[in-house]
Amino acid sequence: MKLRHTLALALLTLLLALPAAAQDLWIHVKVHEEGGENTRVTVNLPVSFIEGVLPMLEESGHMEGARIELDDSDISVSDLRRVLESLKGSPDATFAEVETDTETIIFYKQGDYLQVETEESTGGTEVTAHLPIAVLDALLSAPGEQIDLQAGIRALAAHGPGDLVTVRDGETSVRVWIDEYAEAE
Amino acid sequence: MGRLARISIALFLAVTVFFAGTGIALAATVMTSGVVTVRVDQPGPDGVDLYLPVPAVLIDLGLGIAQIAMPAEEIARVRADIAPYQPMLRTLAQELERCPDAVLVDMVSDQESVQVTKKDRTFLVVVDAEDAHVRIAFPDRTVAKVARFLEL
Repeated sequence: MKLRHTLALALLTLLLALPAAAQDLWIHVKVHEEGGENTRVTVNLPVSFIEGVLPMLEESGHMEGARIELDDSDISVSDLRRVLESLKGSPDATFAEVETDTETIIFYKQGDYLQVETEESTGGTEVTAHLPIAVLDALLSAPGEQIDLQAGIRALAAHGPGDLVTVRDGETSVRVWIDEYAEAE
Repeated sequence: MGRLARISIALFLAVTVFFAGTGIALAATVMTSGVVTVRVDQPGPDGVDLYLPVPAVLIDLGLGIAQIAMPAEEIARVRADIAPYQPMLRTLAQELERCPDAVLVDMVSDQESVQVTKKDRTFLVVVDAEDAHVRIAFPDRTVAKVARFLEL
């Protein structure tokens, strides 16, 4: 009986804490360019701020539909939705490894994340994306060819802290991540 | 003490209390509503050196006067022009007001730096470049007030 009460209390506390935790999260973008003017840019925004401002894009008509363009070929949102559905039910594995003369791209699933790594063979750009599947699911939850950015942000807030994207391109590095701190370390 | 002296002292005290009270009330209003400040400093002989502090309460007053003094058709024209952006402006104003204290944007290069900070319900935008230093501070409620004026 005592255990049941403790569990119920723990569950209640967790449920009550979840929205607060989401509100307190911050998204950070840090860009560092060593060459040229040696520029450092840091942007720190509350996730709740982005969640609040995103409908502005919808109201201004910028978010009616979205297609993702990869080089010369278009991938429709419905194609992405199908890929994601098959990904969700699969065990951890490398799903695609594309090697060309200039770059290598690897897509693999690791736990609740879709990992994407790209590397240019000439020692150029390296991209690592650490994308929670729940967030991708939320992004693709809109009907038709639309991407629901607001649902994506909500899912990101619910998912909690973590690295999202890092990019290294010669003298430039970019990092995008989420945590509970107002200012980037 | 004669009657005239007593009346003079009473009048003096009344006037002092009136002005002191008005001053304190004014200071309290300015303190609670905040101050919008603009500082521009351009080095060089032809450079600009400007410091403009405006109590936010005067902006409220200005918006109130504009509503009365501006011709109705002019207000209608401004509001019609701004109408498509009103929901965006309203949302942005609400979110800026809710945004907690932090350094929101920090850009530093060898040539210039830009910082946008919110502290104690005031936004501070600081731009430092070789040819100009600009510093703008405004209370978070100011944007909401302007947005409300444009909606009325």
